[in-house]
Amino acid sequence: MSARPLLRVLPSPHDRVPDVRFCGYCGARPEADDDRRVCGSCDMGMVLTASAAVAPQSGQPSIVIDDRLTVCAVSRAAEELLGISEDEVLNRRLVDVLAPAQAEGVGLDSLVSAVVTAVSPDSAPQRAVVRPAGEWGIRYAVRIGVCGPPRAALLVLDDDQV
Amino acid sequence: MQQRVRTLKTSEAAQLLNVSPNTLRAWERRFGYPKPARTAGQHRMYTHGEVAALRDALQEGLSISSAISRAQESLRADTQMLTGALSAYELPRADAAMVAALSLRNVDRAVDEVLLPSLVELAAKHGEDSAPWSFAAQWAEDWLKRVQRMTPPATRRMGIVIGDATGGALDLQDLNVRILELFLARAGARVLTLPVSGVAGLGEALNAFRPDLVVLAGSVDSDEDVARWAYRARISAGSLPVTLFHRSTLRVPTTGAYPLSSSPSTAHHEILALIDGGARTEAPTMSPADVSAGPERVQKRNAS
Repeated sequence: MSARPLLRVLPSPHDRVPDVRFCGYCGARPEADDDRRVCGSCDMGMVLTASAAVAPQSGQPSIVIDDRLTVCAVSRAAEELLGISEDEVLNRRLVDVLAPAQAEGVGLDSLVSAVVTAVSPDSAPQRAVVRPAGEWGIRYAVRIGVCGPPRAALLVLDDDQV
Repeated sequence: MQQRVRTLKTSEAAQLLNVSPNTLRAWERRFGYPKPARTAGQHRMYTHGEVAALRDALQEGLSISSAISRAQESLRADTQMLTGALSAYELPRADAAMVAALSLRNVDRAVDEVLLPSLVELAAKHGEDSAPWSFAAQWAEDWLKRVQRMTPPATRRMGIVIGDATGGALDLQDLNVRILELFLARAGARVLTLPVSGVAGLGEALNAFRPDLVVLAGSVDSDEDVARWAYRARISAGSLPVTLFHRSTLRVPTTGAYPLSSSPSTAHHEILALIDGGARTEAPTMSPADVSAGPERVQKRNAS
């Protein structure tokens, strides 16, 4: 008997995207039975948990910010892409590193709103378009979600999707 | 102050942090933390407090950098505690601050990272002619004496004579010299400090002490006094390497002496390296002709 076509609402509220663990510095995914907080691959990053819909794929640049919108972690790929080092931007404001791309209609308020919404309980990942602070003509799509522990916002730069 | 600092081997520290020993070495290279001391065999020895502070910070950290920054911040609290106690003229609390500092570090690092920065901060804030500084300086001198008394007898043959040209107990330079003495003594060296203002009996003292190196420390006494003292020292002890601590190179006309770092910790390593590396031939020395001609000839030579 042939299967009947089904109508589904997408995304289904019942299809929760699974969480994945990844290194905030090199992006490596540890083995399931490896519960260490520090990445065993690069030694330089903390292992964080985020929804698979947000977590960076291998080599994708990412930045972690806390509830005060200050930078807490920068991945190696983000260091290379943005020409910064984690040490020099640690505890700086997000807008000192990434500014809203106003040419794409993204204002500061909407970027902040996207971050706040993304880290709210049960909210879907948000998207925005940003540029490196102090640079014009370069834009990155960014997906924003929650990561932790402790709870923080994860920004993953999709530099080929603008 | 009498408690021993609990230390961990690399494998123990790595186990406490749930990382590999290689990770610890990688962090030391990149972040300079945790900063281990070395045993006589050059094995790393981590202080338990430092590792424990990092372990706690890692639980709350989103990156290694931020965790290390947080751990260092918690250690810096000792400096604030000591500064606060001395500013409030509370001796027991000042002693307690150093006990807390010593629970996380060895004596050298407690002095280098807590005592000295706190005293420098107080001197800068109040001035070296102020009551808070005077109180703090006297407490520090007393504390250093107590530690000095617990230092084991010299284990090395090397002898270092310090020509003290500082302004006395209330001079910040004097505190640096006292700390340098302590570090050298803890490294097993024999140390003799003599004021440059007097040369009476200097020959006998140096003949008995047989120093390997001279440190001219402080910039309060005049160049003439320092030159006279150095000249007498050289006559008695022979051609010795001369180093300068907290004294400008240009202000000493006796030699082109080796300037040491202003940090007592770094300076004591430089001194040990000079002696261990055969400083007698490498560091500037006074020639026999200089000695026979007296200080005037040396002054002329250096002036030219």
